[in-house]
Amino acid sequence: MRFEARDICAGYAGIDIVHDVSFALGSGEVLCLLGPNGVGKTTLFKSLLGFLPLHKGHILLDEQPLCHKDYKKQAALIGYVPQVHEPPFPFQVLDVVVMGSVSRMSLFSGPSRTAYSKAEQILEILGIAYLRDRVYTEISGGERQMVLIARALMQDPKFLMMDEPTSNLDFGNQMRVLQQVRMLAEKGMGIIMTSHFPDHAFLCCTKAAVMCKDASFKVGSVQEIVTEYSLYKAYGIKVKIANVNVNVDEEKSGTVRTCVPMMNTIKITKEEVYCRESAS
Amino acid sequence: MSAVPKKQYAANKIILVSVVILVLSIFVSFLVGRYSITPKDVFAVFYAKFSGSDCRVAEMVQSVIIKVRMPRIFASVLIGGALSSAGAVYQGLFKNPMVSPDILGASAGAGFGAAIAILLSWPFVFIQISAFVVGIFAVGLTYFICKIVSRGKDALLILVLAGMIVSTLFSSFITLLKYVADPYTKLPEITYWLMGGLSAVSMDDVLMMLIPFFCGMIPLFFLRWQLNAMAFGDEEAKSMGLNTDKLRIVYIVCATLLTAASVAICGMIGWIGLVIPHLTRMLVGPNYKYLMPASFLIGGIFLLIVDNLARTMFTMEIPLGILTSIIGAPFFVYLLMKRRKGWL
Repeated sequence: MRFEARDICAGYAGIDIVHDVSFALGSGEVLCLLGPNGVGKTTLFKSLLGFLPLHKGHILLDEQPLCHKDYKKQAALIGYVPQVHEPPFPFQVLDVVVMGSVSRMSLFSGPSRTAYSKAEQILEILGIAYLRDRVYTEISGGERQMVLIARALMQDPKFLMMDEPTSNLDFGNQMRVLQQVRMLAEKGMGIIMTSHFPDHAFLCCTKAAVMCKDASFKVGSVQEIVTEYSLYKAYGIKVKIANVNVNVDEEKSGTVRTCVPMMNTIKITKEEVYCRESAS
Repeated sequence: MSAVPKKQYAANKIILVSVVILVLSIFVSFLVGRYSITPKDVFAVFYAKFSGSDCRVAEMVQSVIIKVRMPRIFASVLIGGALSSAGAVYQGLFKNPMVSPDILGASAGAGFGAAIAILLSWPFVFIQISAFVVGIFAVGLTYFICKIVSRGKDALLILVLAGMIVSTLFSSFITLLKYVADPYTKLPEITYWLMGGLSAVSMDDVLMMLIPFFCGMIPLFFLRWQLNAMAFGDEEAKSMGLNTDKLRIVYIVCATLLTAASVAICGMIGWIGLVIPHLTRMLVGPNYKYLMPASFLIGGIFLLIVDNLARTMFTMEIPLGILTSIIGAPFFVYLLMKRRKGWL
């Protein structure tokens, strides 16, 4: 399937925050949306999901305009993985996952037995089956993010929208989530995610987009978009893109691209250190 | 491995136990009171009532059971259940466990409606109707203020704030009415009504309450699972395929119907809608599939027992609203101390 945004303008109360955004994404592709804080990534996300009305433009799925009013149909096509948060009530993990099928459950009995066993399968696939009887508010942030992914998968969507899936996670959990993103894409899921780390685009994405403060929006392959120039333009930080040879063992080896920020360093002479010490 | 979590069996068990306790306490409630009645009398009267045969129990006993105690018992179960269910719904809807059914101004509005009716010396039925109508109107006003202020942004927060505004407004109106009321006749009447009580309830009142009760309860019962998703917030519920705008209105209308109908019959009874959903969540967990029916049952049991205390503890009856607060406040502190995880 093909998800396409065409000339989208969106924002709050008549003021456009997102201008003329166009991109397309096929099944199995991962798009990483980069950009500084406050540039409108979340606004774009919300308008793609229909939480905010579009001021201009269309969202097309296989050339068919997507109707945000048909909530059920949209839920079957697009899954939303929100940022990790704490709900006010201590739901059980399995119940949280089953909620993904809420729009399809019967009026009388709630989720069916098959829904529960499907939820268990999804937990199994994501490698978090041990969480099924735990309480959602008591598990770690990384585990919660996984549960939210499981809940979105419960909808059997063709596309996943992940709003900063790695925020507030430690290094290990970040990588585990990104690995999951790659695996889902290999199974044919189209994924749009936002991130604050350009490295994440190198690690698991096929496409990237950069939003800048001057309202420009560029999209293309990761190689084209995540460049030293574009990162400087977006974040105002000088960056070197480096290719690193990695040898895992004798058979597995390869190059990994990574971006290294150039820190300003100050050299302090011995006299200066002495001056400071005597001053204090 | 079974597909259904173990906890659900425990929840079902608690609901079953609650039904048994409710039936038992209803039966015991017929026996307690200043006029002593034996279990045999109760069976005899109801047997005669249903089979249509002659009843050999004294006339006085019959009228105490049928005309005095039965309406009170049914009213307290219905009202306790309705207020607790409405509280549970509002807590899920507003994603906040501190919310109670009067959050949107239903109680203050209903109180004002009743006070006006009392001031104008309307008959008793009209006091209830006026309370009900103004209670609904107050919530409508809250919703209207929210609509014109929020324009779709932060709707939930503004709804709660608008509820506070409307509640304060109607509370001031009530105070104003008390100020102008005749201090020897009308003022005590208004004050007593506001303190809440079931001493004047008749079977007709109970039957009249059944209409808004079923109108509110049935949709809530069928849409209770969706409340789980709503508790995760508007956007997430929407992305899971729920029409949240429509659902929210259904929940608010139904919960308001229940609250306004309860306040209209028995005056302002606080705390139940806040405390009982908490207690129930501790027992059966936050899943609304079990939380809703369990809240209803436990709320019914709670108010029935409190009402029994109100009419038997002292020679003079204690207003119900006072008693629920006196019992509810320390009980809530106890619940907060016992909580283990997150918000119960």
